[in-house]
Amino acid sequence: MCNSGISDHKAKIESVEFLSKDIVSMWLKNNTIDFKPGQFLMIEVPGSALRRPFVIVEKEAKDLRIVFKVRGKGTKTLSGLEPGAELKLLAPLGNSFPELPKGYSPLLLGGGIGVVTLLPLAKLYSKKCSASIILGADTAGSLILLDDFKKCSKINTCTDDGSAGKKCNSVQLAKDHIKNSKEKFAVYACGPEPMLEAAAKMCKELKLPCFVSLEERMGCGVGACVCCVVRTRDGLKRVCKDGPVFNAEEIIWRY
Amino acid sequence: MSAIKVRLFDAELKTPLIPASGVWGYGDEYDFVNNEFLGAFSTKGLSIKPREGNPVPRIAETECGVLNSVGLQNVGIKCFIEEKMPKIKDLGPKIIANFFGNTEEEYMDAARSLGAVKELFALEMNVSCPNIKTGGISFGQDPKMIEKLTSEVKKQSKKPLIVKLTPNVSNIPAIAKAAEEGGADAISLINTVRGMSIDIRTGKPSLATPIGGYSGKGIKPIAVRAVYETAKAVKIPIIGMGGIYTAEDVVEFMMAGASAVQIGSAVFSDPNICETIAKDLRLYCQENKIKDLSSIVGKAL
Repeated sequence: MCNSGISDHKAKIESVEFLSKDIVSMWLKNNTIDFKPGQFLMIEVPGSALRRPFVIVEKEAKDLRIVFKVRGKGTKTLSGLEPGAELKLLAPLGNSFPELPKGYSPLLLGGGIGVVTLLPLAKLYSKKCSASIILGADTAGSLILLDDFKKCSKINTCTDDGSAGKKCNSVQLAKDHIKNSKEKFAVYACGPEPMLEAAAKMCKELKLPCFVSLEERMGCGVGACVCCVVRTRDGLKRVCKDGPVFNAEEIIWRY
Repeated sequence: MSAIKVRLFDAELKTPLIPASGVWGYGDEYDFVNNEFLGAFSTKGLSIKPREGNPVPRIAETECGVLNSVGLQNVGIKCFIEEKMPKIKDLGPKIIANFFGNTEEEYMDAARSLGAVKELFALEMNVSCPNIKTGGISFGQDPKMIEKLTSEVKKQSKKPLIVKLTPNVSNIPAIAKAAEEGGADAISLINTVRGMSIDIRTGKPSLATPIGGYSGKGIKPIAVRAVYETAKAVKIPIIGMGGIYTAEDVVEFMMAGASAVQIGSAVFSDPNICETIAKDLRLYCQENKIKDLSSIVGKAL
């Protein structure tokens, strides 16, 4: 009996496109995987002993999209594969972003490559209500998927060096946005850990709900090997199985 | 699948393939895998008290395998028996409970508690842990300690006792022999090989600990050698492991003297790997006109 709904799928690469010097958008031909916003998959990379986790960014017709930063051997190999190459994907994995609490408007807060995790939510809310979207990066070239997000809602951007959008960090921009608005927001965040910790702190001060999607090095992706743990108020939890999305109040941050 | 059945402790395993301790959790995570192809599975290492384990990162890939330093995080034996056993007892594969302690008393308590669980097939004792009373030398490094520990633990339960050995010693057969003399019913080996790697971009070790256990393809020759040497030294069955990814690897371990094998890191590459290996083993038996896979055990000795 399979209660988890997980299975090992196959998919051929449909296209590989570099969005910046080190960020890759890859479409995979597959119509057997269903997913909820926030869920991820583990891809078998040729020549690698461990599969690599990637959040599922969107599904269009019969294609799934992942977007990732080339960081090490696995992502480098993956980015160099040609369309037509067949990959194995364990999916769908992890929990998903919780539904919008009643009376709140969604505020999507993304930093760096973490913005890709929020696109499924942006698409979801574009049908229901208007989400506030705040996207930050170190520099203009790393600010990605802007057109995709713009199709969903109005976006606000910032960079550390001021080369695009406001010159500030994304949490500061979110704070200004919240203060200048009459709405009550629930924050959905994904990005580097110091940014998520700052977002959690801001939400605590403003008494707003905050959900964060975390990242950690994984072995199995299904909760068996307990390599990807995070410290919470209820003890250690597994990012791959109990997360990757957590209520920010639960997390005991390392920074 | 009859040709690839093997016998272990007067019981029949459907296949010689056993997911190793640590990669299969408590057995309830891989509910999407076809259990028909598993001979048994070995649980995450269990201790009397729950354990938090090491800081992250706990895992890193290296050229020919994986480094890990989970640090034996586990829910504790009480929680395992009360909360996990009800979920896994009817899954199908036989269940081997892997356990450890930091003192002889902890090992004995663990064996007694697990030994009372009717549905468990066997106990697997991890002796790679430091003995805190002797300043941190692991039980598995000293033949005298192993013999005494095994004989004390063996008295605590009627279940078959597998002693899982570390390769991080100079004379594995001597340790295996000591375990046999202490009353072990089988030897499993090898546990991971001590190793580390450094991220040269940051200058920091890849693991938080920073030394961990190396597993995967790179350790296979070390493991085959350890099984071969041990098979020459002991009469009890051997469960071999270390870098097994294919049916050919299984055959090699069995020819070196293993009656069954454990699959570790390969599960991370492919959770359904036991199915693939089992089907390939069947083909191997057909092609080589082998009616009983057990007949190749120790062929290379």
